[in-house]
Amino acid sequence: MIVVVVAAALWAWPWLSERRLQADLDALEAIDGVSERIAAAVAVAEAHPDMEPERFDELATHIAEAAYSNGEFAGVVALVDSLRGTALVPALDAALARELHDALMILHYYEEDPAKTERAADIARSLLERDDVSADSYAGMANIGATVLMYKPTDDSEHYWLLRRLALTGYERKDELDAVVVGALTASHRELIKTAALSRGLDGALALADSLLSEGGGDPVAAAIHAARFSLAIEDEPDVALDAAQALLETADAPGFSRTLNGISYDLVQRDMSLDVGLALGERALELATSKRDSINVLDTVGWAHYKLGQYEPAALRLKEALDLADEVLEYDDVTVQHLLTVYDEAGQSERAIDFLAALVARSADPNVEARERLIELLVETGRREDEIPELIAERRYEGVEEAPDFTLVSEDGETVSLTDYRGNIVLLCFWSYG
Amino acid sequence: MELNEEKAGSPLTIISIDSGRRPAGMSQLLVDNNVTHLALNDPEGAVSHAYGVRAVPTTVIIDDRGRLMYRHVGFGEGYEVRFRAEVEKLLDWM
Repeated sequence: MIVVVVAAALWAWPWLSERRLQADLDALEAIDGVSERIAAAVAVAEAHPDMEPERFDELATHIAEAAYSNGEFAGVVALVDSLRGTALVPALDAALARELHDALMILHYYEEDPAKTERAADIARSLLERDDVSADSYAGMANIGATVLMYKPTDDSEHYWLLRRLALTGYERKDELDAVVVGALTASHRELIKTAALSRGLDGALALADSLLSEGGGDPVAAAIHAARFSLAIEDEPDVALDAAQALLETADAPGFSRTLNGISYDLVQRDMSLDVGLALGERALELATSKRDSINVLDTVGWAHYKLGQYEPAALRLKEALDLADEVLEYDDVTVQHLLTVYDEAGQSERAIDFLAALVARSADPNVEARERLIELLVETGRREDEIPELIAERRYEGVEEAPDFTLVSEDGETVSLTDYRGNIVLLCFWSYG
Repeated sequence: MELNEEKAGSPLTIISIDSGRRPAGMSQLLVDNNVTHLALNDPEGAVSHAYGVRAVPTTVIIDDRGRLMYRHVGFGEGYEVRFRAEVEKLLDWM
């Protein structure tokens, strides 16, 4: 009997421990004061010293957020500096060092202070020596570093090599490829190769890209390098750019590549260059898209590629898909709206254009002068009359409109309130927080 | 929001829904925009979820028959003008 009970307790222990940890982490959010929250976070670290690095990242984020609310990024630097060297659990110290790195880089963005990037680079180098830092942290540091240096470059070329090392380390230590890691690979290689062009010229930078390719590292690394080659070469060496674009089709297979592929696809299409390759890249970007916003952008790109290839049916289909996905009310000067109208125009599909424009005007509160003018033109073209417009529009006022979900909540004054209490009123509902 | 005062006496109600899970910086936005006509607590975030709120602040405008007519994310430039225009339109259609 005792053996069974003990065995059951041992089996349940990790699950209970995880529950306790999660409860401790959740409790942190409710703590208001800066020093109170920090003390609580340190206590959690001490209570669970064997947590995964990702958990320490969460703790460090709580601490950094508490510091941020006190004095922006300089506050984070001051706070972390004051905490380090106190007897913190080593993994928490490492996670805090990461936050410090990010805060320093962001301060360089605002203040252009090379001393800060120097310090950040030193921190990054020391973190590369450790095995208790999460893969996401390495990738995150590479991302922030690359973004900041994109706008505020540094003279120190070593820093760009460091970015690459951070990205590669994140990539090697992560189990599953995701947008964070892929983003780090593409951003770091982009900045490294771009900076090389400044000192070695275009040919020198392309030679560097080739030598990096020969180092291997797998498809995602190769894809990141090809994306950088494309950006570098597109203006002056279109053949190289095209080669890079085709190589991307062979190497860019992970979800994180959707945006990069979309950008390159759109670039080719806009330049009327290798539309087949452009379309293929767009289709790949669509397969790899993970967010609604990304899907909308890629659908527009793919639709436009079809249009440029003279394939009006698929073009209209994809552009409509993009517009249907969008949550917000459409505006006449929206790029995708204009794309769709252009397709209808080219394909001589005035009826569909009239339908589309009437629905757009119906759902929008803008006077929409240009859209109405276009609508009039189309009606006249198809032998109909301008005075049909009010009816065309009125018919479509509530098209695709859904009923607002009812709810019953308690107000800050303790009143119970339902949405249906306000039937007969116009209700403006502001959401300040996430579900 | 000036809309609060302008429309006093007209059938417009402004409600804010808060689950407390706000991103950093949102508190300042709340103070700046003074949306306090009626503040409701949504502690589980269920209503935010039901309305598909992905980014904050999200504002939706519901007509007098409970239809979700307009949706807007952020308080970017010109938002008050858009809200006003949408509300005027819906008041017109009542």
